[in-house]
Amino acid sequence: MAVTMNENITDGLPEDDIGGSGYTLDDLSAYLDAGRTPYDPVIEHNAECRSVLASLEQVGRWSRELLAGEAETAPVEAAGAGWMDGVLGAIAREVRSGRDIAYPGPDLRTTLSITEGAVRSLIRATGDEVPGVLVGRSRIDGPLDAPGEPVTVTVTISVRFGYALQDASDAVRTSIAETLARHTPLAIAAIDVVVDDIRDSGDEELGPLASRVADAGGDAR
Amino acid sequence: MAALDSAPDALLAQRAADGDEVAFAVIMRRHGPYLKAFATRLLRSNSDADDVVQEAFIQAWRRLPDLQDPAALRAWLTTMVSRKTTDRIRSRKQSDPLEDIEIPDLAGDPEDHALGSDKMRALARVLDTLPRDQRQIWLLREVAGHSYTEIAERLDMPVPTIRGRLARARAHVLDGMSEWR
Repeated sequence: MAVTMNENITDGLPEDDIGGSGYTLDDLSAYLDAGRTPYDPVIEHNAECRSVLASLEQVGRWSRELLAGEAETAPVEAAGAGWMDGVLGAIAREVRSGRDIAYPGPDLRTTLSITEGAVRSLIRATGDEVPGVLVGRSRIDGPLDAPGEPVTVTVTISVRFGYALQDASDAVRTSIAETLARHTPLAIAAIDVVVDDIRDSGDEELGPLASRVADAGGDAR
Repeated sequence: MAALDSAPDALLAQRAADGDEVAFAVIMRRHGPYLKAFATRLLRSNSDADDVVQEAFIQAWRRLPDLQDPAALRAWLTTMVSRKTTDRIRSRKQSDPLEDIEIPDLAGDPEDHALGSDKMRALARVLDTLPRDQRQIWLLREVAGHSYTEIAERLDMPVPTIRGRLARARAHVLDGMSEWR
């Protein structure tokens, strides 16, 4: 057994007094979990205490690595499939439809409306068509129950690294304006596009900038 | 949609909060296996872990619009899973008081062979030999990052008990992992 190999920790487990500090493992464990605050000079100046704290942090890190490792090696199907379908089925019954937006019409007995959720879905689909862009959240501000009253749409987008932000947000604004004009009764006063994330070009795909750089490098040679 | 598969958590969380089920499916594929591994270690039961992860995701879908920091998605989901898991642990104890007695759990781990290194296999074995309460407290602290107070509330135990058992669990893990440190 390895138990006797590491005398300062393992022999009789450091329950009582670690490195003559007067602190027990119980104390050090609580000190670590308090974020090592308030600063305790007795502990921090004791080499053995510091080594125990480092070991505690290390095994904690390992246990997170253990789970990450198990997650990585678990086949996606085994972890997913059955329960994922169950969840998707359950949430499909809880659609986030939001407010109703009525189409103006001459006939007072029938009303045609589109939900806010459906409009958001249109906004996402339209914005995602712009190269390098993924839509995050969208918000419609204004009275939706009064057809023709101007509303403001705010869309947050993520742009892939290497794409020009101004061009991307202009393209998003233009195409969302067209889509909303064509498919919804909304009277759009303004579309605010907020770039709140620039994401890496990803592992497998090269962004256009990267490929341009690669091309230029090729030409130079 | 391929682009969504590599999209950051924050974006997926925002889209899912807005009602995008495709983004939510990406979230489940990305974080489900980790949450499942966490729940399995807590509950020592594959089917219970599946149930818990499923319930947690359904609840996550409902609560996503309230998520303050979408970038902290995994931590937030882990909290949901640990809540659902500890609910289950408490109801097990009520329905079967024998569950409260600390018996060593299932010996051996079906997924042991899949673990990358000897060190990780050793750690898995050491965690398996922890008494049930200590193992649960260890996971709630080290993996889910809960405070003593939260763990005490979730497991219906006084804070000093949590503190003491966590220290004992740590002594046991340090001991068992001494040749790796």
